[in-house]
Amino acid sequence: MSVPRLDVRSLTVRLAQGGPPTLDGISFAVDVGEIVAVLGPSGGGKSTLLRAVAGLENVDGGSVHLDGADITSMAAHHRNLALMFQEYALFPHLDVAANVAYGLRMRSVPRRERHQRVNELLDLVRLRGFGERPVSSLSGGERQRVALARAIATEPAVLMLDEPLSALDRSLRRSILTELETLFRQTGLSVVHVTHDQDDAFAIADRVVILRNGRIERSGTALELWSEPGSESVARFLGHRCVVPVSAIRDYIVRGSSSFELPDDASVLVLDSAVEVAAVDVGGAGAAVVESLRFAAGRYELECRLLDSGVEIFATVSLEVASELLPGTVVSVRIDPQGVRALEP
Amino acid sequence: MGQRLPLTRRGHWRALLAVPPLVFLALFFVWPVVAIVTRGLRSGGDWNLNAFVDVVRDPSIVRVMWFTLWESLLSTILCVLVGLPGAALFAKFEFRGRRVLWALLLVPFVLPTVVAGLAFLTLIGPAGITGVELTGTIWAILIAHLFFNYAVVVRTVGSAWAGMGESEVEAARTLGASPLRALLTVTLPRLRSSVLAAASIVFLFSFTSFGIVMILGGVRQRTIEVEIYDQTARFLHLDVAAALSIMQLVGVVMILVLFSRARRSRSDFASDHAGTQRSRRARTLGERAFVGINLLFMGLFLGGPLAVLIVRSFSTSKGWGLDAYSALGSSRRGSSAFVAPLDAVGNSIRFALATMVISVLLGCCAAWALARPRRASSGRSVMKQRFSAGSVVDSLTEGFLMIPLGTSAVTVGFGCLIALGDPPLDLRSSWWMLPIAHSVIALPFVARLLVPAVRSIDPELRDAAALLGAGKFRVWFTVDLPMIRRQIAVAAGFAFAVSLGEFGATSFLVRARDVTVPIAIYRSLGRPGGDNLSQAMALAVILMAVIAVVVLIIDRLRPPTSAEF
Repeated sequence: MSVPRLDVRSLTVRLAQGGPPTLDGISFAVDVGEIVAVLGPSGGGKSTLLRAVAGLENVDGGSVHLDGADITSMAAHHRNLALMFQEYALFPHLDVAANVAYGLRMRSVPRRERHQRVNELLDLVRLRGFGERPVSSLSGGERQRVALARAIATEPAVLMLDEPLSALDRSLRRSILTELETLFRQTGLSVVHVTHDQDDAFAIADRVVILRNGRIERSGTALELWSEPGSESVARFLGHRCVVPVSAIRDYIVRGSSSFELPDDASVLVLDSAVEVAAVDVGGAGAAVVESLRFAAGRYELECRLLDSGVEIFATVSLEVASELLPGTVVSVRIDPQGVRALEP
Repeated sequence: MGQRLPLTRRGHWRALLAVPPLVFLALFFVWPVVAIVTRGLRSGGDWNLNAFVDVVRDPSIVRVMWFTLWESLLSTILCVLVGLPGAALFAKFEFRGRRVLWALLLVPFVLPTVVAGLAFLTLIGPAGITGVELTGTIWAILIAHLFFNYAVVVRTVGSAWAGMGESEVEAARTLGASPLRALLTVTLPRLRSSVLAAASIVFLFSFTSFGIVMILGGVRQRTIEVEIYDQTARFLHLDVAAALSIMQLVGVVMILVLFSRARRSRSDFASDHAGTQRSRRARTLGERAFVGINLLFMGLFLGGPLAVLIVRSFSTSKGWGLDAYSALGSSRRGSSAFVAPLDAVGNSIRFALATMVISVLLGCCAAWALARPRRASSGRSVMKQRFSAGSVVDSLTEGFLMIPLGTSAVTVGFGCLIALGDPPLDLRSSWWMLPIAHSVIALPFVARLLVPAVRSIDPELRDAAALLGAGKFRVWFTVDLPMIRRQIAVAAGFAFAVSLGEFGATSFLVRARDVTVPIAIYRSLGRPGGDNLSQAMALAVILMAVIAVVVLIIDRLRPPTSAEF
């Protein structure tokens, strides 16, 4: 088995002395060319993790390895790691080209070569001809591309991105995300990016690591995490709304399918796709009442209250069906057990 | 297990940088103050308060102290009342020449006191062109203090006002407040802290005013400062002078404490959105009248005395001419004690350059020593803050650096005179005595400019540089230094101007052969004859011109976002 590019082993950081650790025994690895997203709520320690790996934060325990070598006590400026800061941290006293060239200058790359490399990089991030502009004249998206060019100029072993999209307009995010991924795949970079936005995390990542309260709660591919969140807290963090006790939905499970063996007080996640709603009042078992109907991105999100147990579940319905499902309507609900996941508390 | 990483932002080596400025202040400020206190409170080798009490209870001294107190109080009230409309003008209205005027307002503030004193002498002195003689009355002093400190109120309050945002006032208006009531109930309460800040500066300057009172106060109006000088230089009563200095120090400390209490007692009412008020052109008749009257007042009151001074310097007994200026090259009396006035210009510039170098070097040391990065900007800051004993040391050091700001130049001069005359620190006969004393006075200004500048550098920029491969020194050289070179230039300009116009400390310490321009001006005034007066005016005009150039350069370099004083 090959050595991973970046290997973080039970990393512990305590920012507040005597307080709880900000990072508590974090371990994960990034392979060559792999893109790993660290997803977690604000204040969960994501930025601290990047800063500790970069050598900007005191480490209280554990180690960081790069291509097998222990770099835990190496000074930040000797590690060949790049970090793109959330607010970009462009040098305001330097123009675009000088910002991009900074790392090359620190490595004593000859002027001519530096110039050429800067031009290549500006082409790569589609900022040709911006070299002499002051950074203060750039838009948010342009700043980000300068920061990116500066970070990858020295061909770092790992590129780390701190909330790369948080400072950008919603409308820009999607296109920039695609652009970033293309660029990462082209250059074969190993990338760690942290974000609090699951869409961003899932959009470009081979693997997603969920970091909460200084611990890694779960990791896996986007699909694995979404469909098997494993625990109630992860499910809720990912935005799943329908976490209910088994007993509340047992009567609505489609009968005759595979057996459904769970204790009554266990929590389960009901995926939207598993809920089938029909506008017929069957009465008794399987009945629910529509609470609200909300238009969202071309579909309707339906919230209904199960009449038996009083819990709310969610479904998505097509435009045609929605017209018959006004709030207050009594409907029949059936849940496919294939879309029900057991959760740890 | 706890590995400690070598970090760009740790580094206890930084603390070492605090040593030079601290040693400098200990030697040339604390030690002289200690010498004053010992002189005033000890007699015959014992601590003995009797002599001190005798001095303090002497009726003539009590009168001087009372006068100093209520003269400063009146000056402060007058400055705030007259300055507020000026602040409103800059906060609310756009007009031609606004930016230049904003910069020019600083000219009186940095103008040497002797120059301003002379200017008012030509207006309201015995042979003044207004025909009204006010010298020797409190009015002359109040007017001159207003002239000096008007800019402090206008610029401090004006920039706070302009940065305040309009929406709260608009809210008050929609709730039924008239413009006047909105001003009284919303705007002025929110300006409270900036008004107090300005008032405290004005009060301190008036309390420690020396040159103005020397020139305009005559024999009747005397402040503690003038009394200290007279007791030292004329009557050679060093003990009395020391006792007075102690009273003065106590007064200054009390003022500083009172004002910082008042400012802290209520927190600033910051707007919940950081909106900058958009200034606009005056539209209604009332608004136009307001702008017009303000501009007229500034032009006449600030420009008038200086214009008269300039014009008068070109008038001779035979009409207009450059006689006063051409006479500056020669020493009229021929006596070795009187230096040719033009030599004084050379002396002043050399002292100013030395002061500039000393205070900027020390100021830079202090700024980087104190620039322990604070995590600012984003919402992540709270958890990043580490509380340590270091921050306490920092705030002590910072406070220590600012102390000379409150003490008077006369205290510095008198203290150095009695403390630094004997080995091992015999500097009184050295050329360096003046640049050192000037640096003690300039250092707080320099530190006030540089410490926040270095602190405002986003620590992430240093992190970014380190990650791109820059070591500690290269981070400093490629990020810190280039980012604040403008502020360093501004601080250097300030130090230069302070030294050039310094009168209080210089009058105690100057050696006969290297008289400075302010001293030469003052001495010319003391000698009879119209030629001496016009020579003084010519010198004052030259000094004014140099200062004006420095101020304009400073204003060009000053980044638009930096704080005012």
